[in-house]
Amino acid sequence: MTTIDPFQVAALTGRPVEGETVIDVHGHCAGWEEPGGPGPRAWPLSAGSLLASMQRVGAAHLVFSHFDALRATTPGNLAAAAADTEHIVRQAAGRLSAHLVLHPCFAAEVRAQLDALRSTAVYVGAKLHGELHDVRAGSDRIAPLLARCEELDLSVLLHVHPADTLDDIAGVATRYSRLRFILAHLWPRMPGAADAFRAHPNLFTDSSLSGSRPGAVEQMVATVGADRVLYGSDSSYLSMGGQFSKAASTALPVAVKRQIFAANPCAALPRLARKLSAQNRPSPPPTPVS
Amino acid sequence: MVYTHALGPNAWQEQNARTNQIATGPSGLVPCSVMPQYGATLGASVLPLIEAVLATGARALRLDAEIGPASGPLTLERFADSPAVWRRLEASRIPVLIPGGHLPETSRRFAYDLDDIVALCSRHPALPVVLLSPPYALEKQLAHALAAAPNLHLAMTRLAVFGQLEAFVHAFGARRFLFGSGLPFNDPAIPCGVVRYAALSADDKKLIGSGNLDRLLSRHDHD
Repeated sequence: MTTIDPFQVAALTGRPVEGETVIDVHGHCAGWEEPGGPGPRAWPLSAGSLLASMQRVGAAHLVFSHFDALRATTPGNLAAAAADTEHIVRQAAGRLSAHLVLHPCFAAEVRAQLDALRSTAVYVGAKLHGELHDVRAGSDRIAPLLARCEELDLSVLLHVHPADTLDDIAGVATRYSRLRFILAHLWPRMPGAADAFRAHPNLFTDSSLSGSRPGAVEQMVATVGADRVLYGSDSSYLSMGGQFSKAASTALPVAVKRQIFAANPCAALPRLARKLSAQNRPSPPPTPVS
Repeated sequence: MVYTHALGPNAWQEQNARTNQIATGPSGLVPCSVMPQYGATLGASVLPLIEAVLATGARALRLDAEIGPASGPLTLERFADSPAVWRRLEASRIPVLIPGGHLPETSRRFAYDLDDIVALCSRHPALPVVLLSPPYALEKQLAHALAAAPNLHLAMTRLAVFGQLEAFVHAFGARRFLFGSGLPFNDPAIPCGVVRYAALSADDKKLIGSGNLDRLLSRHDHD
């Protein structure tokens, strides 16, 4: 008997996935609405655009980091981004949560934001962009923030610095052994990944990547294990339809896809799991878009 | 639509023979012939070689570099009798496919850039030109090129940034964009998902998915 794969069906028809929970651990936005109003823009950044895309693929929940926090050049930028993040999450009615950006240039301000975390209402994870901010994972500049994240059980979505090696990442996984790291963009696609993930149960990776070879997700699952790969779209940087379709169309059993799309995100982001549990529902299935 | 790769002097002959062999019968594959740009001897005419390729029933031509000790950067205009070749192709409305990987941003083996492609389009306005898989980071340059050359089309394989395909279609119409899987180097599920989940009408998606290629191959690319 052939089992129908609802993820594959959705990807083949361009419809929202039905009867399944899809959690996206890697997104970005800024502002609730596009500044120029509705209509195609060269790069839509708003939460509204993100939510519309989530509706088209059937994603129940997405965790984003604010573009302006990533691009902050002053403490004022960071504060404004934090205020907008709170506004967006509260407006999104349970569909969005946030990663708190660990900006290495504003460590004191970030530390204050971390100390002020009281609940899972807004922030369920943290984001460290090693490449954008030119900071290595083992840097002293970031160490106090990672230590605080570990105390807070605030998992870190880590875009690895190009110079960081598997040994470097294993080093921070050892130093912060209770802190879960989600390594963005199917990292590491290199020899030794299997051993590193076996040695460090606090390492995960997400599926977002602008261009992938056919079978890249399947190969990562085979390498690091089905319980260590999470769905991430990197929208609104990358096309959510393209990234969802890549993960949904993989030649993997439906049970593994359920891990990637729902179970693993909750395992890697315990604060998200608690938040969704408190919401006492998987988010309602989205309304189909014509 | 497929082509095959080969190495060596005049590799295009072997490439086209292999492609025509593969893309036959019920395979569902449409052959794309490689366009010869150099004769067997220095300065030899290319037009007879083009005529020979067209005589095999070629429905589209692709620029591809020959790799060998004497193969310099590939050019659009400076090979022997190039004006006559382009006029011939324009007269037959044969689509010409130019890999986006040829642009100087990604390779120095090619001596032309987007401006040269736009110039070619302008000199031969009835010649359908398709730029294959241009990098998404060239968005603004591609927009200028599409505005300047109405006979320029883009294969959207790598236009996989959020909202990018929709913005391009909104600005230039769906008829300028073709689906490309990027196989075997790219996961086809990504461009499939970009088109299927795009905030575009079903008609626009059909044009991008197959209608535009069908129209170009039918050689009726004028309204």
